[in-house]
Amino acid sequence: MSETFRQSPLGLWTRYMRIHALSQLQYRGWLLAMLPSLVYVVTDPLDAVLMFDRFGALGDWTASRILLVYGLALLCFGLAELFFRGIDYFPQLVRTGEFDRLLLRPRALLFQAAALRFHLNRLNRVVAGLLLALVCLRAEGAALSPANAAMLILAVIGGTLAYAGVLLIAAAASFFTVGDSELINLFTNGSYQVAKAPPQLLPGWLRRAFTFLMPMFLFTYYPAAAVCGWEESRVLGWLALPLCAAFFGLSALLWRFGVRHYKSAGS
Amino acid sequence: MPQIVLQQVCKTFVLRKRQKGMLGAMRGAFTREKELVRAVRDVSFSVEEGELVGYIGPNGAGKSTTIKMMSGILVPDSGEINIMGRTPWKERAAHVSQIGVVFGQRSQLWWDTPVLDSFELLRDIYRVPQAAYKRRLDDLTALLDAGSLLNTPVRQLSLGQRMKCELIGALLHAPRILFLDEPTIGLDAVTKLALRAFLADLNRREGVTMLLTTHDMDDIEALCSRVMVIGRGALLFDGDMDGLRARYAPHRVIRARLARPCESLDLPEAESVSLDGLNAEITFLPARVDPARLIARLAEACPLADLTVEAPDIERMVARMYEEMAL
Repeated sequence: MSETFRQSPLGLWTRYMRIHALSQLQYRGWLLAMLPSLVYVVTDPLDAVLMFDRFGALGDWTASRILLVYGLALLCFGLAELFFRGIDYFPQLVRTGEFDRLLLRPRALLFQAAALRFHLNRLNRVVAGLLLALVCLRAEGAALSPANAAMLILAVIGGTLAYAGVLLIAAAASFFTVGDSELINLFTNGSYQVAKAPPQLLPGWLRRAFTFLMPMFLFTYYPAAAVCGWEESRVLGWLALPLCAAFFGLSALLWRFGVRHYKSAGS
Repeated sequence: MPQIVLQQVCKTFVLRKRQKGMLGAMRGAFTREKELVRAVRDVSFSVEEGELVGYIGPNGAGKSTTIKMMSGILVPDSGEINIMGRTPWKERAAHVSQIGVVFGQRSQLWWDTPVLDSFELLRDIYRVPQAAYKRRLDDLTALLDAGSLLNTPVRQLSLGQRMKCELIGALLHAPRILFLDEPTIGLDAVTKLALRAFLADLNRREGVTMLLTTHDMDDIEALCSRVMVIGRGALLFDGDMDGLRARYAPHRVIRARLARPCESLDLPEAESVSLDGLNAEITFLPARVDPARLIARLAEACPLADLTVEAPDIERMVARMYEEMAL
């Protein structure tokens, strides 16, 4: 590896990941440790599948349609957890005062915080979400033109940033309230469960909340609708990345504000 | 201009009091009593490049808070901190690349992987070129006799071995200033000596400025030309060891063994005299009485078998000093 690559953020990130992977492989049970989350990820959408199998479609909504939206959400959440896992641990980091260590190193704090943890088993969600989305796209007979593929990829990047933003907000909150907040699970684990309900069946306010407040549908439903031709505006499909990136930016600002309030712990 | 300057630095923490028990915890969800703890108040000092300064004080006196503010971890409520021309928390990245920090109670290394992996990560974090890193690592491991530890996972190291590795890790990027927060805590005597020798040598050869907190007065005596005492957030003393003794332990004690029993000892110059069979203990202030004259008077009054003059034990002196602060 060249000196410049090694010192670049990407090179450093690779080294962080290497040290995490090495740490986890030290413990022989690592393969076994991946199992529970794999079982969870695979069984989670079963309820939707069984329901549709029993009762057929809900209006326009078929199993493949619902699972496409769900798969995209799962993929985005999985990627966010993969790349920003450390931020998920932030409340703990602040409580124990371990955040000190990050402050002592001459690198961007957000970068360090994101790279601080890495769990191989988070790959489960990414792989499951990706497979589910691809299978459902096929079942829906989506035309994967370059423009459509680009829209999906940008939407997934946007979705990843949106979830990372939620994790960041939770992290920011931990600077002020020492202790874990269950509230945040509503926006992370809870939100992709929402994807299992057809947006049309949700009350208007809830649908808007998950489009703009926690922009869930923005990076799942609307891009999927545009690609599969479900009579929704294509513009909303393209909006996923810019709006999610803006959301991420705001979360990062909030986080920075939190950092200013950091009170170290212990001696 | 001095390398480190602190001017009237203050830091207050807000503690939220909670009542004990389940009921108290539930009540705490609605109302909380606040308590202000003034961890550091109006502390000012400056340190020149290459100085080796000991920073002592009882638990909770504000030592760690001061170190954390100087390292850029905490932002003071008021006052100025200037280190090598920078304000630590304003130019965090530039500041921390010039300093090294070692916490005796907290590891900077990755727990599950061999020490060398941690060092290589630190090399890239601090952007140390490979050649310089290699040279530095070889030097430091040789000096600390740590070559055999590099391939061991950190969790398998003894405390002493880990401390050596922590020091190497903190010095790989050749910092100009080293902050050490209780570096010798929990170490055995041999390791303590080795660490002290290493620090003294590093200070002499590279002129690295060091500021260390400790509860072990031997650390201070062996290493520091200057000592600062902090109590309840305020700086109480700043000077050398002799000055500290003169201020907090001005007394000397003569312990004499008499050749034959003596009825009474009359020494008006002494602060106190106690007689127990053949053993006499006389406390005096060298600032007020010439020790030679006092001993001569004692010998005149009573023939002596043996005699020692002692300065008070430094640990005891510090303990007394801390007790005074608590009042």
